[in-house]
Amino acid sequence: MRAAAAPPSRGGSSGGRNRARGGLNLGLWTCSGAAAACGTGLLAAAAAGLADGASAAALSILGGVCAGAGGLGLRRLRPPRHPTARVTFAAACSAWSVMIAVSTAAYLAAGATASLPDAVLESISGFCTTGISVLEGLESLPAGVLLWRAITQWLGGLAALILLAAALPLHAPGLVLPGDGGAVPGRSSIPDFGTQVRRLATVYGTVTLVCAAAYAAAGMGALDAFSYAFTTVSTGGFGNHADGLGHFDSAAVEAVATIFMAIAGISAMTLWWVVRGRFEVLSRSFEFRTYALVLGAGIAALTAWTYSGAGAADLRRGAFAAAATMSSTGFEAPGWSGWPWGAQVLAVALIATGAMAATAGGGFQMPRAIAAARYAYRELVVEIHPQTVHVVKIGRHSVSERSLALLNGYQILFAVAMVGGAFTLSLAGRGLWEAAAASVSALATMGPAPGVDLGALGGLERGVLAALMLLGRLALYPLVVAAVGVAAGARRRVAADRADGRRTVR
Amino acid sequence: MRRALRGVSELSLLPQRRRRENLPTHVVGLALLFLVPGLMVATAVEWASNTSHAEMPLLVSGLVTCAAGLTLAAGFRPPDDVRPSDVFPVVVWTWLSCSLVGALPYVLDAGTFGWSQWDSALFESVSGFTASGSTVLVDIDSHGRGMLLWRQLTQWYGGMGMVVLAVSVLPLLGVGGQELMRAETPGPESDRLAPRISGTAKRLWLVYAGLTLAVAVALFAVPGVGLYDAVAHALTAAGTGGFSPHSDSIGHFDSLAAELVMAGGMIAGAMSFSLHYRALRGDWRAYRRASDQMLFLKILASATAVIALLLWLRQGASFGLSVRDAFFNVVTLATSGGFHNIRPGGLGDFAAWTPPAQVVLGLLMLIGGGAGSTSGGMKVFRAQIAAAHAVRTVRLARRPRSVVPVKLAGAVIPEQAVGRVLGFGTLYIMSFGVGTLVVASLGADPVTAVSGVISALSNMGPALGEAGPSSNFTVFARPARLVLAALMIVGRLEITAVFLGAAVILRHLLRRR
Repeated sequence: MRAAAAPPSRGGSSGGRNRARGGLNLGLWTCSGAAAACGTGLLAAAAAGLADGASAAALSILGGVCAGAGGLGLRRLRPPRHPTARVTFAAACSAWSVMIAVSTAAYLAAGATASLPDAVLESISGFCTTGISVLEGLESLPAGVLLWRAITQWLGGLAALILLAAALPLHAPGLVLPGDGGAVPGRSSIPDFGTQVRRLATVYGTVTLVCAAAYAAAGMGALDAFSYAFTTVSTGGFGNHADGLGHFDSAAVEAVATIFMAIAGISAMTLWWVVRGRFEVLSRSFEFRTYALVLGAGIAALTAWTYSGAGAADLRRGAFAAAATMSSTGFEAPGWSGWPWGAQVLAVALIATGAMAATAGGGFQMPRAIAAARYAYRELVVEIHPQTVHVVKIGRHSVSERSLALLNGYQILFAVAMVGGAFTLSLAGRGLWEAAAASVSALATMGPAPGVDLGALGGLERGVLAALMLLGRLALYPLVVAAVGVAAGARRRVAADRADGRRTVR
Repeated sequence: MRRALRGVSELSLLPQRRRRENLPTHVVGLALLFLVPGLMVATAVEWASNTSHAEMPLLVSGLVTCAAGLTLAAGFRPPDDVRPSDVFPVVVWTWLSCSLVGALPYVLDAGTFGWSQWDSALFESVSGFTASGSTVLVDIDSHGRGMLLWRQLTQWYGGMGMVVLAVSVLPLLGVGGQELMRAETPGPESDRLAPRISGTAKRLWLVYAGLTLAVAVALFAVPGVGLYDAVAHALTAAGTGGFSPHSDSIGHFDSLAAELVMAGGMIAGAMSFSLHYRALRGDWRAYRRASDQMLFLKILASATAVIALLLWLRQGASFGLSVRDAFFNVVTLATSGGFHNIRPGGLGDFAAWTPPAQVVLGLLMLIGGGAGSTSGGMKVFRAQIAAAHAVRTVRLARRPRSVVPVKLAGAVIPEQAVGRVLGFGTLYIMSFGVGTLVVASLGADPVTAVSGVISALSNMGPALGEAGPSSNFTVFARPARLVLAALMIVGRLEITAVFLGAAVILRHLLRRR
């Protein structure tokens, strides 16, 4: 009764205010975390490039400020324990915005480029773990800047893992299909957020260290080994040289990259159990078996298509290309724009397919592909047997109807983003195939693609590619929901202003 | 004619107990018998026109088809009750049989394809019956008028559907008749125009024939278009087929009036024939009530505007020419018509248009026309439901506990129907992906492969890249053409029917073993 009699307030109820405050707290806490991580990364990069003087000083000052401000925020703020999906999305978008802003400032301050659009695109590409680079004269850049580029991808990969494998499954259930890669027999409960993050960070860090050691053993120097390890494990693809890994002209380096790209395509939760000695998780996971099968078939097909009689070298090239495309690591396979058409189309199809869930890779990803295929099969069965009840499963895990609905929506949004990207890129002057391949590759956070020349990007192309990278990295929904939320808020505000105006006139 | 066929269906020369129950064979027989008049007319035209000497191949094909049709229709009878799983093999067998028989004149006539090019003959026949319009026939004008008329007639037959034709003469068929029609004709649900399903089928064919006649008369009234050309083009315009007895298609007439008549015919063909029937009975508002049909018209208008602007601004063409060519080609691609208007001084070769315009054309091919029409593609109502579902999932992502129904024009769409559409979309994407990979691996460049596969699945006709309107499908390797022919049938039968039909047939074969 009292609630009905009380006049409506513009601020909303106390519950609403608390929720809003909780959402703001989570946003600020996430931004603080992002700033702290960037600050630490910048300080590490500055330490690596101490000999470079001015750029190292700029990086260290910026790093110090970010780490200090971020640390303060993390100490002071207390995020809500059970945030809503919308708040989680908004927090994720804010975190990426902060990371991109810090990185842009770092590139400009360190003198890596004088162009703001270049710095922004390089930062977006880095934190989206996409291999599109617009910086020129890589070999002449200070060591600190090179390491920072690699760190952006590593941090982007870690942030994506935390968002897609820990935060969204917990706070926006059904939005990300987790697959069955992390399922261990006898353990049905899902660990809490903190445990998940600890496990993910441990696996991610361990694999990075092993990868760096392997690169060093294959003949790389310390800076290159760490830089390439950061960009390999994060499925990024940035390199310290204009010709990427081809610079080393080493079969050992290529083999290390191939193996770790393939590993980066495996679910971090699967790797966690494997590291702990539970190898049966590999054979029990239908998702992993499918990933291994598709990867194997991709290697065989690409090797056969591009076979030149060189035997092991052909196999190496095929394996490298298949691992790079499936894990969406932006390392270009040598000479792929000259491959037969079938091989080029297959490479783009592998980019679009992607790897397992709970990885830093992009694309449609295995659980979604499996669930989509089984969903289509179910619809066929229902057509003949209308009364049947058919549950879609990934391995032994059933997929809820809500998840299937969201998956179908994701499929449509993915297609719309891809076609929209291709249309806009073709408006910017790209040919049909080039526009389509570039759009798929950017959306899958790969970057390069066969037949695509990313040499001189115009303003429109930069904007489109940046939007596609962000959409792909944040699994579409968070950004779309955030955009819809902003649009709805603006509409409400305009409507309220109009109503106020009418009241004033009266 | 219909009475005679019904007689074959109901009163066989064989005693009832000796006629085995077999629905697919019976329906195939009836469908083949319907082809006989077409083959005879083509024979007569070939004989009368004296343009080439293909009378005998056409006559022999007619006699063989007649004998096969009589044997199958009279030798087998439909069961008293039809299960849903019986329906899909009927559709698949009917289309395969008609395509094989339709290729007979082409292989029997050495001047057309001959036995050595059996795969090309089959491709041409499949392209005809699926109303696709992709061709591997070179120098079309040099062939006989009768043979070319048969080519046009295959599209006319295929436009409305062979099974619908067979259903119109089937005796009382229990529950399966409606299922049979639904398996072949696209639409959210079968729209009954009469109490009996055979009555609905007859009315649909009547409207179809009426539309064909109207287009033929209108075309004949255009200066420079003869009777043969008017009839031949009307047959393929109503069925949104795309075959023409001229290599330069509608560009042959170089006439705006002819283009407008053909565009009108294609638009009518790409809209629901049930609605046409209701409109003819006085209910003109039926069009306005069908949101997908209205949206289809809006898509045509907006795509024309976008492409005309792109042609005007990017290709330096005059505004009038841009609008004219944009309109005709938007109509031909959105309705899956497949004609072209390449002519001197024009912009008819859409494969040479600026890339953004080609992206729009690709989308139009993909979406297709209205439900219950002769056009191909995914259909506008599916695009509407898919878009509404995407919006719903964004709302679900924002408010996970909300219950958001999918609505079209204010009406809630049942979840089962939404599921069917989304399942169809997934199967379409899979067929597209596998098809593109296979066709590209057989040597086609990506643009040609992608657009060729979309064109085949949407029963469009010409594609982009090397298989554009100024060229033909001979640019594809011979195995790739067979893949594309299979995709045309997959697309014409709306994917589900083919997969289910193949699965049921396979299960029967395995059981027999």
